[in-house]
Amino acid sequence: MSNHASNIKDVVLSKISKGEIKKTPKAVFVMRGALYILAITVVIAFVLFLLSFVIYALQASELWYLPMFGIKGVELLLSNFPWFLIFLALILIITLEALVSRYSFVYRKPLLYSAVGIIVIVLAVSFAVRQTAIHESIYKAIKKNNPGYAKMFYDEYTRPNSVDFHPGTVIEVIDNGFVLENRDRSTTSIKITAKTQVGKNFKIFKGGRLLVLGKVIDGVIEAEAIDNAPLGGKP
Amino acid sequence: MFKKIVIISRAVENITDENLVKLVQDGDNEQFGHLVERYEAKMLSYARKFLFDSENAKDMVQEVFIKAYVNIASFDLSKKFSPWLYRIAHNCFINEIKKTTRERSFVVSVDVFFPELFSKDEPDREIIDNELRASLDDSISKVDIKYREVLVLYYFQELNYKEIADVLHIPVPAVGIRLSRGKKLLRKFMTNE
Repeated sequence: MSNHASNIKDVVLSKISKGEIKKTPKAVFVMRGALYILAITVVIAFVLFLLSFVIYALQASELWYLPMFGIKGVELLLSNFPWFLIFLALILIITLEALVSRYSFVYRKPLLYSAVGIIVIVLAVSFAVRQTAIHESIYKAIKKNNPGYAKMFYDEYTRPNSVDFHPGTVIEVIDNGFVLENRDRSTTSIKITAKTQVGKNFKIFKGGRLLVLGKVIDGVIEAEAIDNAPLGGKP
Repeated sequence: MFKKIVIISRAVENITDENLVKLVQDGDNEQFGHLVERYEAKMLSYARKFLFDSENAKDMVQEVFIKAYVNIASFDLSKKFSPWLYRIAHNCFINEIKKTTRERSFVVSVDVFFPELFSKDEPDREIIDNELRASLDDSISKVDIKYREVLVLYYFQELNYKEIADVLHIPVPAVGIRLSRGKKLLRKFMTNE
């Protein structure tokens, strides 16, 4: 054994016996571990809230059904997607990956596997959370108690913001079209032309929920595509 | 008296690292000296190969043992002691390198994303690497820190892949990739000399 080595032992033991260095109590590590688990739990809860809210917002604004209009619908969906919330969720997922990567069952596996695993689990659980109608309950409570920012948040993301997408209820059938009552109770005339693409089982009837794609020209929408809202569409 | 010391000495030799840690955790602080004795040479060799500074290596190793003692209560007795101690050493040395050199330490490396596409089985340390080991000392300082540490841990500290993965907190197959690339770099430097 080298002189260095024996010096090291002597110095360390001397510091221990003089009380210059002390063992950190186990309770401190237990507390740290508990805080770590708490942080992971909070991040998971926040991600699940955010992603289930994205699903809820898309369904509530009826943007969710846009892909049934083909490429044009998908383009509209992507241009109206709540990307900011997705970006936030992504940051939280990266934070979660960083938090769990201290555990051997995570770091021993390739990062790609754990990242994909976390994303798949988080998405699956978010869809499950969405099934609980928790966001409907929260929105209801918010409307009742009216806390400013929370109401703004829910209002902002649940109304269809696209100028080319018009979900609504038929209130009158007219020649070559119908009158649609929008979500804000305003009305718009819809004109159906030979170019209008209609869904396979499309039906117009008073009180029916319709989804219309088209630009507003002089207060009238010339429908590019039109279809009945699927069951479960927001009434 | 002499006989008694010999008996105690033999008894300590038969105690596992983890049992010694348990004794220290329970308050028998003198037993920590036996852990220092067992690992001081290995730690000094690790530090010298990794830091290339003999004087500083001694201070660094002292710091490693002090940190190990301070954090001894966090050691999980169901696990092996040596990877835990090497992990502390790794963190100390990386911090020292950050402080004293401009050598870039890596945050996330590509090989931890999908290492299984590239990894090979653990090579036979003895058969393959005798010629490499002989020239390691001269060339290892030129190898990037990412590969250098794996080479040191595998060839000089004789840790296995799983233990190295636990020290560096990287996937097990990534150890194989870094080792293989490190060896290629070493050979390149050796042939250039």
